[in-house]
Amino acid sequence: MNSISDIQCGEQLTIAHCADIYTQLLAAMAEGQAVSIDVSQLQRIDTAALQLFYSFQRDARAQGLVTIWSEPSKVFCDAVDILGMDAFYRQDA
Amino acid sequence: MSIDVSQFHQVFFEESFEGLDAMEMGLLSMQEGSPDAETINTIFRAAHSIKGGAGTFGFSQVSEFTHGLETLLDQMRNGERDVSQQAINTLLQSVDVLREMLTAVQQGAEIDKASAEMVSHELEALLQSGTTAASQQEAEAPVLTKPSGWHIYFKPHPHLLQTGNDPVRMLHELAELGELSVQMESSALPAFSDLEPEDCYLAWTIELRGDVALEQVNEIFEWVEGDCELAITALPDEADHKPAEAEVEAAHDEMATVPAAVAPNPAETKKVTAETAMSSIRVGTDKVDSLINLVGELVITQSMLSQLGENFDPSRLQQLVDGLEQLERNTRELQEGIMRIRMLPISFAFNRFPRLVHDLSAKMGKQVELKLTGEQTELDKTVMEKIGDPLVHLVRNSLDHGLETPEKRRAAGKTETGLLHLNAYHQGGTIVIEISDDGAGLNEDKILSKAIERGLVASGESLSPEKIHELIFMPGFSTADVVSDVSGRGVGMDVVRKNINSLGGSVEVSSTAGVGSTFTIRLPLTLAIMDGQTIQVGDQRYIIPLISIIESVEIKPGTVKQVTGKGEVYSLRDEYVPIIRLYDLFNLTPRSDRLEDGLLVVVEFEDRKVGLLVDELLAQQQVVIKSLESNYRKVTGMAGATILGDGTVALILDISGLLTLYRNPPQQSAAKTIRAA
Repeated sequence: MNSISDIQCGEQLTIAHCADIYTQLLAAMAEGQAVSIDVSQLQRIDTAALQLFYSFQRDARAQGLVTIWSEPSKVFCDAVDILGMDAFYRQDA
Repeated sequence: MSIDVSQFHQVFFEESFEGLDAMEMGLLSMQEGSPDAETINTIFRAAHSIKGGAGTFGFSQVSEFTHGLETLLDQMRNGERDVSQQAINTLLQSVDVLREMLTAVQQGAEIDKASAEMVSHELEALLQSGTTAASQQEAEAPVLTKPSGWHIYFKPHPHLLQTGNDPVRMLHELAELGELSVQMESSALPAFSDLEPEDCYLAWTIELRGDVALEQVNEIFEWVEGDCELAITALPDEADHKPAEAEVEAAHDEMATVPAAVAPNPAETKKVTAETAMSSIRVGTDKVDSLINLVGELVITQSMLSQLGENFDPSRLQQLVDGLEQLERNTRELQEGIMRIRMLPISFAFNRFPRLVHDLSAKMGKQVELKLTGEQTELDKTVMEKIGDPLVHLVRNSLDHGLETPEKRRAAGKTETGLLHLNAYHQGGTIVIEISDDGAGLNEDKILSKAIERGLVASGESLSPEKIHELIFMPGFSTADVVSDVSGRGVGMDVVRKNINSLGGSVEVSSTAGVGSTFTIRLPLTLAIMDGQTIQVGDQRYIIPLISIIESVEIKPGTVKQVTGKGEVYSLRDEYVPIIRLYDLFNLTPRSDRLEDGLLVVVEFEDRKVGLLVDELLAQQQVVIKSLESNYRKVTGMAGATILGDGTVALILDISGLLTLYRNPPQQSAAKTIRAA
């Protein structure tokens, strides 16, 4: 039985944190687990982190894995918008 | 009467290069918005002198270019213009261009018009833009018609995110200028399992609509220039402004295409400049005065001695002895005085670093404070010329690999601004130069795993931290994740060590993870005089550079083994050292061919030890090196010659050459030429 992998992003998510998050997401993907990503508290996110999520979401979607985005913060939504990723995320909505 | 002005060219170039250095230092110390009147004056005066000199000597391109620069500086000096960061950057670029132009003129080469035109264009744009209230009103009259917006294609190079630049922030800034529509291109994004999370794979096509000047857009991308593919073109204007648009587009095309073509030039030019600028020395008049004094004393002593010689009788022997002592003292002082003339403060080598650090830290998105101490420490001119490149490499290395980005530093509980410290001081007969940073320190795990991967270290072997740090000096060793244009091509540290070793110096590294690294270079103060060990082989005396000698040992019976095809080896504690019988190599007759009768001088070269079999160790002394190449010809195995106290010539051994000679012994006749006359 596959459980849910829970990823807490905290208030800041930048290139410095990407290696850690990548390892967690990669493990979840290898296990075929659903992933819940908590981006509700994010006050700062950079391109490296958004690219990481984008890449994960794209492959997870292709593998039929479930990704749950919990209450995205305004900062997260704005950053997604400005990078031109909004249409991609809307596909899940 | 006509005067040949070309005789003054050299002085003009020297003064101009000094003026450019002064301008550069002044510009680097200038703060946006709060200019120091004296600094601006200094910069203005330097530019003014260059313009005047160039005009006098007919270097019209240089004087025309400097004219625009001077106008801008004059406005700043008179308070008619604010000092913006953009202006400072353009002025710095102008300094580069001028340096390039002067070098080209000096060498009789073609001036690179493209880069000059590009910077001239930027200067003109600045002059036309006007930032003060008065000039802004004047500028109300339309100079350039703005297009309806800009089409921007922005594709970061993979390493861009690691430089601290963030497209999210840049696009937010663009959005503040006008109406933004962004299309992301993710075709280069690999499968998630193959993703390098710190690399950038995305690209963006952006349309920015609104009343936006090209400079405003350029300003946002200013920090990523060279780290991305960038194309900015004007959007077709709905209103009928075709001619103006064409003009802007043309202007922009120039800006967009020229940088790529000229970008590498400043670095190359700087190198050339460093070489040409060093071709003469400026000596303080105090040093010259003291030499004249010394020569005066020498003349007095000499006349006293010649008087003594004319009417000499044994009763005046003591006077003769005193006179000779005085002569010796005079000669020594004169020698020291002349050596001092060749000594220059190390600030000559350090001066280039404020600019280098300014440019590179901006490029990499790091905040760096450069601290220079001991700049007045003096060093021989020849050593100074040769230490420049290794120093630049070490500084770039510290900036690139040592110091972290502000984010990483904050996360590590450090201040956002990293410290890079260059320090120089004298210690005994050597000069010590330290390059230290308070960055992340060497990553020992990474170095070790790389060394294992390259087969330099056996897997599972445990090494002390010092030994691990030493690995970075191995040829072709680089742990950089990303090969950047700053450093990390793996051709660095071994070359640095080789260059420093060839100067008779050494380089060491000490590092603590999370605290920082220090590279320590030790160099002899001069290359003209060195400490040597005199040795006797047969009827000849040779000098071995003291710095190469590890130890000298008596050979006890049973400590030497024969190795088939490889000659003899001496068992020195836990290692075997090949023995080179110098008398064999030089075709001399030894006092005895029994190993036990001689002494083994163990020398080291590039981490390899060999034992030189000599008949006897004589005195250790300072020797003045005379070039064999210029007085005779190059001889393998010999670094030069010197004249000993008794007037005989002794050859100075070159350890690396000896090893070559040992491996490929010369023919009998050739060997004979190695004997001193």
